Amino acid sequence: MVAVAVSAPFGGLDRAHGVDSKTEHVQPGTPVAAAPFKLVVTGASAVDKLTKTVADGTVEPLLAPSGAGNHVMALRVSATNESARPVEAALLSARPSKGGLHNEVVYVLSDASPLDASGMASVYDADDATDVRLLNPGVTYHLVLAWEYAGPVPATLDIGLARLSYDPDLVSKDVLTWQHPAPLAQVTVPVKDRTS
Amino acid sequence: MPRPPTSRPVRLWAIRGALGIAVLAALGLGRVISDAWPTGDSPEASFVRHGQVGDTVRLRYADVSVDRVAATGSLATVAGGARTSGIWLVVDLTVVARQRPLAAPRITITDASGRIFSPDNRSGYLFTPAQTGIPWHVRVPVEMPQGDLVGLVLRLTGNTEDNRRDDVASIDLGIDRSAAERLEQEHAAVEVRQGGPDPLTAAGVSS
Repeated sequence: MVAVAVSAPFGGLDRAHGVDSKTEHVQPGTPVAAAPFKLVVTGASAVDKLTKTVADGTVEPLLAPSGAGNHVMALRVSATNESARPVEAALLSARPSKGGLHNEVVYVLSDASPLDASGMASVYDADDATDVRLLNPGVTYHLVLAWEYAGPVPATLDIGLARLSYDPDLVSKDVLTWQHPAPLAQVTVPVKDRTS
Repeated sequence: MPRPPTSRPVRLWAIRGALGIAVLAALGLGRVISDAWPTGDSPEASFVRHGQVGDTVRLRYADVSVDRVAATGSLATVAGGARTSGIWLVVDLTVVARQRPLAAPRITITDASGRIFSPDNRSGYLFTPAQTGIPWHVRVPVEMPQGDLVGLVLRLTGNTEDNRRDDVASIDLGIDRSAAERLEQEHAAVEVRQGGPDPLTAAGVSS
């Protein structure tokens, strides 16, 4: 009791940011207000590798599996940053949900999770295959979240969506960051098998 | 009746404990006071230097001017190109670094409602260090939603992290309603390349 009282001026009595386990199942194509974004998960494809066709018709590799027999999962998402500041695309990087949520709004519930050492997906613009690093306010980005995975091509992919809070940083209360993910919705998307 | 003598170690620990509680109480009181009566940002505020398109804004670390403002739906870059569902606002700057090269300024656009927009590397934008005393011409593409171009202001700071008590340029891009309508009609692809000493040509030259 004394320890709690002493910690009060330092935030000891602040409201805890618990994880709400009640998530709504939504259909692919349904807009979800997953702060700071409005997200629409539209579909997924499994491919041998991700490529980019440049202006002269040359096909260049974008993302190729490093492990034999592995494939690339490409999840199509439309994202609109509804905050007043640029937001890093890393918030969309689709980490696996195993081991707890990080500061992302998209995470992978299925086994076809990212194999990358960082456990993160790459974020590309679906229209021009550029590497998206940040999303400016009010612009709708048509994105592909892509990651290497092992195992057979799943028929469906379970994606979790969470909302973040714009809260003071742990170190400095003057710095606000998007954090404290709270699960919001779950969407099951059919996976098109485009592997050879 | 005389009080029993207190041993010296016990008294020492009691004093230490009391001091510890006093320090914690003082820290807690300080936090409560600073939360209740914040000092605001005035002691750390930046020195904002205002200007308009064509003006040279003199900062501690550089002279900065906006030479041209254009817009497009697509960019031509070394890596291929970049499109958008919104609009690319393209601002041509001239920066002359003072005393030392200017390596990593932060350039943002603020709209009339206070929203902030930044350039992304996907546009081909890369600020190469501006050499001291040499006019350095930089093209800055910024992705924005359509219909929100009126009243845009460019801000340039000396670095990306800490601009407390330092100069900041705030340049009104001079976009009124008719200029915004004209910009939104511009469709020619704009070539983006790294900044350097070579002057930039008109924004919509390549196709």
